[in-house]
Amino acid sequence: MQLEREIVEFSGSAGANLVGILWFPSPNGPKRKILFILSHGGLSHKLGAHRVHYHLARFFTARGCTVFRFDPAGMGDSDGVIPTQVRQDLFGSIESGVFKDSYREAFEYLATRFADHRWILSGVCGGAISSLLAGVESPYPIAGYALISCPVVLDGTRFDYSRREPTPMALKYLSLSLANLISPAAIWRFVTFQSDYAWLWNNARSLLLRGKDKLSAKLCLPHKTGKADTGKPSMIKPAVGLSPIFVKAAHEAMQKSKVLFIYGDNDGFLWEFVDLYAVAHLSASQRDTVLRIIIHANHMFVWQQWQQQAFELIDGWLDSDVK
Amino acid sequence: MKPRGATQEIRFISRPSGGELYIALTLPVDNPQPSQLALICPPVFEEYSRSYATLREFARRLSAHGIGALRFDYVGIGESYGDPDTFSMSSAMADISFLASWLMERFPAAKVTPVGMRLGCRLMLDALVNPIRSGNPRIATPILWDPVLDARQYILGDLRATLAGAMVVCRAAVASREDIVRETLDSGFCERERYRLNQIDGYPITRELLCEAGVGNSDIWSFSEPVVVLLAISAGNGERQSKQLASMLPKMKFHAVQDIPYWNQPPIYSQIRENLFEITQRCMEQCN
Repeated sequence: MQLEREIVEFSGSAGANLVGILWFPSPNGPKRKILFILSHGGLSHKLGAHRVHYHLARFFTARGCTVFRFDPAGMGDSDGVIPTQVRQDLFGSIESGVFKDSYREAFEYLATRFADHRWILSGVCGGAISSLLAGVESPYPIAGYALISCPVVLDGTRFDYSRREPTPMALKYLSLSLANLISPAAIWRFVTFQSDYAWLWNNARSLLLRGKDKLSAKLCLPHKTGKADTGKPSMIKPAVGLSPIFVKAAHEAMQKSKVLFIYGDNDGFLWEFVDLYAVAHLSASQRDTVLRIIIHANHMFVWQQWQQQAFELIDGWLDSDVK
Repeated sequence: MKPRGATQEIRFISRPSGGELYIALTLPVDNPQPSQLALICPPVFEEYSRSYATLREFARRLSAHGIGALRFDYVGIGESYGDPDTFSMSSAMADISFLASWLMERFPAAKVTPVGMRLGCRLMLDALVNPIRSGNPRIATPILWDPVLDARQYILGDLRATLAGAMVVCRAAVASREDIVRETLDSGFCERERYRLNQIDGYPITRELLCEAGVGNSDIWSFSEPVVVLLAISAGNGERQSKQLASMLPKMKFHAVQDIPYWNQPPIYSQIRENLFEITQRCMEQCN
């Protein structure tokens, strides 16, 4: 099927030129008045890591939707510079809404052409949280949010990342090595310094730390709670904690629109969504309404099979929830 | 030279053999007909995405110093036309060859410097070997950033990551790299538990690509014309890499550049590679 594409340039703040790509459905194919809007997670560009946004555009334009993918200021082909910073701080700034201005400018532009469409905000990881944070401040109605691997925490170098890996993930990874305990070849690799000791140690350390946290809680010993932005000086870094910015935005989005969160079950972000966010802020039925899990998928949905499954979930959700 | 501004033209252009290429042409703001242009041949697969911002900044820096730059996406990769399985070494070489001609036609007074990154170096040298060997005065000495010249080893190395992913999914080792190569060459794909394992970073590795990469033969690739090699290294002098490259690039001029690699995910997120940009620009000006 021949798809139509259009490179779009529009003005951002201070005259910066922002770049996006519109994909239209085929003139002879199905038509739905739905516009997808998405940006990306900070380390790639409008294509998305592993070409996921390209595949999303192809999937939904074949089903009659229009898809707009763009580079926020400083990213991809858009003007501007993201100041040099440690990756965790870059993620933290994205999770705090650094791309909201670029989204607002994109919304202004899109409103001149697609005001009669239902707008669905989407994205993977940083693209998902950016879409959520920008969408709840949009002056234009947002029909739904289809958010893949959306972070619920606030990153930053001020946090202790050794305390982030959830127990189930560490257990899952370590269990892969169980068979090696009786494999002569694996034992030989281990004693001849050929094994990936860092990987083994990181997972073992996660288990030890989680166990220690559990014990501290049982014995009611004081420990750092991981609360972000307390402003109190501390020699010990707190654990990465639930982002109040995400909590507020997710609440507003669910009040005004339909929301779908998709995670892979090989993604630590799923556990953070469930254990940090859903437990505290959603009822079980609310959680089951908004959460979908793709078996085996990892955080960035690297393999196309996982991407396809996510798109099919979104497509079904469009039909059933976002009518 | 005092830095000037840059303009950017982004568009699709038609390929001679069908489909469209996504290109970004960056030019000095005060000189739409620069005398020198860089044809930037990017890495492939996910290295392409990870290096995108760095290559954009490189293009802007060159234009600010009076040198134009063309970035593009290979067919099947990036925004260019085509499903990922349309990417092959021959299709990428056709894209490079076509864009070199396109640049020389659009800028009749300019000299083009091919600048390759990672596997883009190999694709670029293979694509432009004839005009370079024949001494075409419009094409300057190629510049290679961190060249990957042995496509076979590169693909086999990256398949290791695919197998690690498969191990997590299937909870056991379900195939070897040799299995993937053999089955893909035999039947076009290698599947376990409904997952295609003939892929790297989500990009399919086709039978055609494996054949073109020389999987299954032991011929040593080499390029006998002069080239400039820049290796971004965080420590050391790159002596070992230099020796390895010298066997394939006998007339290379080698520079080890202290800078952060741009094709993998660095601990520091920075789009600027000051040393790498500076030395590349200097080499381009000297080669012109």
